[in-house]
Amino acid sequence: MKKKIFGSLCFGIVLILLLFLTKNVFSFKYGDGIYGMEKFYEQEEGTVDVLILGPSLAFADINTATLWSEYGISAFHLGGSIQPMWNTYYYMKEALKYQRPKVMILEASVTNMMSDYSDQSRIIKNTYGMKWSKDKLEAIRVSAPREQWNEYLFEHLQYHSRYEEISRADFLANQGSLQYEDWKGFMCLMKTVPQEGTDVSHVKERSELSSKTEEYYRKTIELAKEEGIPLLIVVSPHAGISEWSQTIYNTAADIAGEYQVPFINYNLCLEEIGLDYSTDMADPMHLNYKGNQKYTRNIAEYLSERYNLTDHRGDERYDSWERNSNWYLAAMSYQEIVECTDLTEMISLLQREDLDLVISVDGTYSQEDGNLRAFLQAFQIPSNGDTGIWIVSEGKADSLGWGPEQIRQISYPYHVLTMKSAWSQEKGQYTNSVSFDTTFYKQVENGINVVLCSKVTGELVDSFGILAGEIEIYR
Amino acid sequence: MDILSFTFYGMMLFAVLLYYSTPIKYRWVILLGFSVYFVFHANGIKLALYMAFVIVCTYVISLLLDKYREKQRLCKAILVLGIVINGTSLILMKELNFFLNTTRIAASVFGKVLPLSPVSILAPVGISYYTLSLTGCLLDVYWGSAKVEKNVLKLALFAGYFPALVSGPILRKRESFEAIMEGHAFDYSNFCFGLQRIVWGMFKKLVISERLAVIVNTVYGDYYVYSGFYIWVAAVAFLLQLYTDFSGCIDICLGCSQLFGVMLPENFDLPFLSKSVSEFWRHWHITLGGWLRDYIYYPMLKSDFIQNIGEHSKKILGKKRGKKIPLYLVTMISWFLIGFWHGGEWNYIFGVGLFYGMVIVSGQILEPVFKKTITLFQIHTDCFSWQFFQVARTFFILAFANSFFRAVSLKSAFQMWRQAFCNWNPWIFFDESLYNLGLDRREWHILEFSLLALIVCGLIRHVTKKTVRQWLLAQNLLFRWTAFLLLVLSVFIYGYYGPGFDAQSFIYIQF
Repeated sequence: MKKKIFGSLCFGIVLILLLFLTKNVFSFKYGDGIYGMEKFYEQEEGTVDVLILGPSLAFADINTATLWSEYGISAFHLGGSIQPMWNTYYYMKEALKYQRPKVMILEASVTNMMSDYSDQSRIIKNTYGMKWSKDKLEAIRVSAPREQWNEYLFEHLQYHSRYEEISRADFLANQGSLQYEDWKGFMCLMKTVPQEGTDVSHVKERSELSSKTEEYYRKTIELAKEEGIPLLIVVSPHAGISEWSQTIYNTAADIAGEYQVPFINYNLCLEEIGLDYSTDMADPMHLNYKGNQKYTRNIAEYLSERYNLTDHRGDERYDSWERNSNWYLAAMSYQEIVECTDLTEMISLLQREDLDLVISVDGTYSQEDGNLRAFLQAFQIPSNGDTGIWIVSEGKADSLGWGPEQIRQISYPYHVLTMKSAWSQEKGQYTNSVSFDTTFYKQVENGINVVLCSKVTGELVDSFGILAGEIEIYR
Repeated sequence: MDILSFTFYGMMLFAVLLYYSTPIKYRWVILLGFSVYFVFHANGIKLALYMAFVIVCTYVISLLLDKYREKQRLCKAILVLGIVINGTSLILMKELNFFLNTTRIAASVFGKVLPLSPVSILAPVGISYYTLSLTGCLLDVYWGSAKVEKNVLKLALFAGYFPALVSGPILRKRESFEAIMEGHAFDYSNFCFGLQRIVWGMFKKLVISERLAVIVNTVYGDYYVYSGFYIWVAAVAFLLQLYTDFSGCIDICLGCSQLFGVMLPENFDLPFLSKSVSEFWRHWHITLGGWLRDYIYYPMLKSDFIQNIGEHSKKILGKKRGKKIPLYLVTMISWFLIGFWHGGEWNYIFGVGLFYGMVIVSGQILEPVFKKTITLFQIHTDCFSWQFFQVARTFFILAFANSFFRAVSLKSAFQMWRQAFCNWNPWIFFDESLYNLGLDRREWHILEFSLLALIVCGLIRHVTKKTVRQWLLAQNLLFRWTAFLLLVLSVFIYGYYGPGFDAQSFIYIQF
């Protein structure tokens, strides 16, 4: 009997271990809510000087890379998608158990939320990242209607159905990306979608906040006061602001005034920031990489002037901010390449040392083709009509070589770039293939195919082709 | 109370702990307590009292039957009273609409319009099961094949034993009474088997049946849109759904009972390996078939009325043919009752009742023709291919019949089958049409692998004549553990539960 009970115990332990592993794979890893909190727990105690709380108008608009690289400010975003004020309150409460920031920024655009509950996805995103504690239970209790508490408390009920969306990122540490190794919760939006914007400077009226939002807005301010940590309340600039929202923000400003907490509605300071909605927006609500840098500089100036923040650049304890900043600065700088459609401009943009360029000359093309020749010559690649693959790294071009089958791989922390050139008896020429992990990239059959990978971000930056006889860039 | 809910398993945990920490002699009291809690929780006070009334009536009548055993006519009258009370309690709750609808339709045939519209009645959970169990008790006492139960609480536990109340099996006093009442010492193997059976039941229900339900609901919900092979796909899917749903539920219930050491009778025994419809019904819903056979079929066959019909038919049709008439008649009545038990709708009465009766009776009538055909075409009947043909034939007859069970009405079922035979669309098996029935490619693959696992387990049972759990016990530790862990993880990951899914309740819970 003892043997059987021992066997059962062992089986139980194996089962629990497996379920634990399953949880790691299946649990939600949303960057806009859960992952930020998980990463926050990993931060060394006492390193977060600026804690930024709030919805996507906080974590997509205030650029932690700019704060670090230009001001040496160690900031961390602890937010969630359309984060209601009650979740912000519990996030702040949770955060203060682990860090003592010198200042906290509360992005208050959600004070215009009128409903008492978010949708299912937002409830998950704004609670599941927290460690189990009384505060997490409380956060779930206020986030979901009573009859749904069980569904949110037993998390596996929510995530077990993710088998439909499980991917490589769910199995690897840091979701298989360098971006997340030293992540500070910032999500940078790269695209540009021109917006018109609404001038709300004339709106002086006030509207009431919903009772639940006001209750937790006040509780959040009071918590910061109780903890003795200065709080700055901002409303990020967004083209989609309505006049009604402005009436709410006026009330929110009044409430902040009651507590002598600074409140800045940046929708009223567009000129001061230098924002241009035709170039600086990713969508009606969020700034893009150009806009968020302008906005962040303005906030950084305000913080630096008032809160005695230390410039931590060069301090080893803050290396993770340095790496995180480098990642974003590189990613933002690549956007010019990604958006470039002019061949001559592209040649000049590619003259940088942080990229691995794989240039594959494919099919047949005329040696007289001036565009192709110019491109190849710019990277010291012979343009004699031969097909083949060249790897350009740190300004030097290296041929993959010619033979029955030539294969070379470049490894990045989470990815592998593979090049292969092989003689095709059927075609009477070398055929090339370039793949990043298991995805092959070839835009044109006759001409040049280029794949760009970053040594800094460890990601594929762009891939394009130049068709023989043409000047266009094919993506 | 849903037997897949946290509340139920919380109750089970508490019940098991309390059961084994109570002296053996009083363990039945624990089961009674939790059964009462279950009944009240599932039914509410009014329906629970309704159930209690039937139990008390059965108790009093069985005591009277025992007391007046010597007075034949009085005894018979008391028995009839008991059957009428039990029968009425069931009919009032479950079959009232059948009488209302039939009366209304009959009146309309004669040009009269009666204002009889269907009524919505919430019946106590398990009414169809405990009523039959209690009626069986009365008949057993009347026939002297079982002792009268003098403890009303024990009779109440027998009728309302919660693992059997959800969807059977239908308990018979001489089979299960002692097993429930006598306290069981903790048995490690039994306990493990019980847990494994619960998980296996969940696999059938949450992984297989719920996926099949998506296909079935899509086609049956808009049956007028689908035709040809879609109807066949839906019919086969429903047959498999019904099996995995019902047997899954039974597995969970029997597994729960096994945790207390109480072994309840099996309700399924590899039904899809049956070579004929009558064989199928000896392997499907076994306790219902057994109950009807012992309490309806044989007693009716032996009754004076049927015997007289036999004598008359022999005179008219000759001795050889005439003697079979009572058999056919009783067969048809029994099948009518099986259909009627399933619900007061003609699609049940036809699809789960009369149709099977007709298939069985016509099979017996045409048996000489079949034999001659087999001889004429020199068909070998002692080979695998013939047996396979018989199994496949039975399977498709069942798929056809059960489509009436699922259809909204008898009329819509016939309409569906008209559409099935009027359109030829075999391409649905080649293009991606089947992925438009609610399950995408990935979901189909999960369903296919799960069904494969089910078939493999069935074959292991068929070949080894052991339960899969017993067979697994003889395997090496690594294999055994891998199998169990895969089973648990499959339910955990691929089960249709939680807020992302619209899980169906167990089909047989409504009976």
